[in-house]
Amino acid sequence: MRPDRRHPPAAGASRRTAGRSAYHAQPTSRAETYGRYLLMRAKVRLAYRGDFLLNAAGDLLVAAIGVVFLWAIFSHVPDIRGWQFSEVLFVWGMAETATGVFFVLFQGLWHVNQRYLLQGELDRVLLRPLDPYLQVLLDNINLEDLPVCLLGLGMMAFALPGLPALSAAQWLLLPVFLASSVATLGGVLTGVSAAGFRVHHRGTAVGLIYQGAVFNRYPLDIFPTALQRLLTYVVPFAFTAFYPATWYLGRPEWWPFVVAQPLVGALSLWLGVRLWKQGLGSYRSPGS
Amino acid sequence: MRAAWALVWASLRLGATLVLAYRLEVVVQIASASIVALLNWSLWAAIYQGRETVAGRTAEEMTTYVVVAWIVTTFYGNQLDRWLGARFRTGGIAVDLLRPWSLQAHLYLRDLGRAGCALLLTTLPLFVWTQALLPLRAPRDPRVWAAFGVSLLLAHAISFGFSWLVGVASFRLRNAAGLAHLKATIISMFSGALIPLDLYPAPLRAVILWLPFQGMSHVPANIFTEAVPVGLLWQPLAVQAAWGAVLAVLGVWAFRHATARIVIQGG
Repeated sequence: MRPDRRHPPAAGASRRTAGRSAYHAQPTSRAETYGRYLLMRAKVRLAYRGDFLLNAAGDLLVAAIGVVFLWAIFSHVPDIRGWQFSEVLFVWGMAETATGVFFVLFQGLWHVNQRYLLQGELDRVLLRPLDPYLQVLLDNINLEDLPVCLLGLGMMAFALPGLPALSAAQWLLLPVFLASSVATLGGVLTGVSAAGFRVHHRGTAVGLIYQGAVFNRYPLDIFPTALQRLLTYVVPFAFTAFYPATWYLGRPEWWPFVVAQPLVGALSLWLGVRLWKQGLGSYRSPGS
Repeated sequence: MRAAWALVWASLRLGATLVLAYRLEVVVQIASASIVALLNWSLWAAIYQGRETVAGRTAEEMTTYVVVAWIVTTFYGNQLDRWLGARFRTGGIAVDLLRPWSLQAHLYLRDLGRAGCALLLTTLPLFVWTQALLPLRAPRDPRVWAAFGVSLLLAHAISFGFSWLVGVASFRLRNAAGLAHLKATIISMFSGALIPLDLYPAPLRAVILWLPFQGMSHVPANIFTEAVPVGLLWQPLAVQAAWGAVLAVLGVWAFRHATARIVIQGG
């Protein structure tokens, strides 16, 4: 066993050494190849270490605005349409956790239009014997948003004392609900970014999806009915925090949606990836 | 003198042209700001259910405040810090520095051109649809409208001041994306764009009102909701103007320091 393969040089090592060892040691499995992809990404980001930290701090601060916002509102009112502080905090925390993981994993889709399609970086991706979709994701893994997930989990933990005690099943299913929330967010974005294969555009419209996703932080029933339907049946962001959270808040009115939530996640991601792969079939290189 | 005016006009027009070049972005911006305005409005409408006042404001005042505070960001919001950072990274800044005029003044005017164009294409349409469809209130007094217009212009100057400072900081930091991010966060926390400043507890609020950020969204929204008596309208405007001037002077100073010893990256 070659030791340098199991223990790749630390990020601080000179680039040339790192590059050479990665090149010479053949990866043995697909998982290892993807692991190296991740490692390279971490190295690239840490090249500007100060900037990395500032970015992480910035993302954390953006997320922390939510805490300040909720605290400011609830220092003036005891509830929003019957929702107590700890309930809103739990929904918000769940949304923040799922959105954080979503940002870590799916950041690459933001650049699909501009970088991969208009500037033709997809050519490079297509030349490699790995799944292009996964390459685009792994190329852009965004570790800066990990602290945001922690903040989200912290918000949920902070809300717990104000909620009914959780059962073992609720603890066990929490990761499932969170994973499905991430899959829903990722699936929608994947599907939308797939449009870039047909409509050649800089892709700022993709950002609208994120803008719409912030609705998932609030109890759904504070919104007008039309908006509630939109967030359930058209762009299913209500499934990315609110519906699963209702089970933890001891509100039984929405149980069919809680049960459906894991399915919605799987379906969204499947559909999104399918659209993406279909779009990929019609990719024409810009030649630049 | 005529040449100077021609330069001013050319800078303004360049900014406007850049907006018009990406017309689809305008639509996206309207859609995006509409989503946020709708979200804020629904949230506040829900908060006011069964309540007369929150933080000393009526439902109508508060919903107007949050919607206006967000809409005005489409006027003053700019990406100049990122643009300057990119110019530095690509080495294009060398060309910008060679030009025989003040880069700061040129970019200010250019962004004013962008803002003017955004006012007609984005900000005003947003005002029109929110006023038409949501139960908001608009001021009747023309003096309030005039003060609101001036406060928008000054909010833009403050916003430009910060973007310029962060952009210039990238000359030293090499990569200021993180700093730009931090700036955006602080602005959304203390400008009133996301969190109405009246919600903060009194001591914290007093501090925030001394900071320049409140001149960006809070002052225009406060004026628009007629929270400032007509006779005292000059006060927030004077504070805004003072901050705009302070930031501009700081910008001149920072630029001089940053370019005294600048590393130009390969072209």
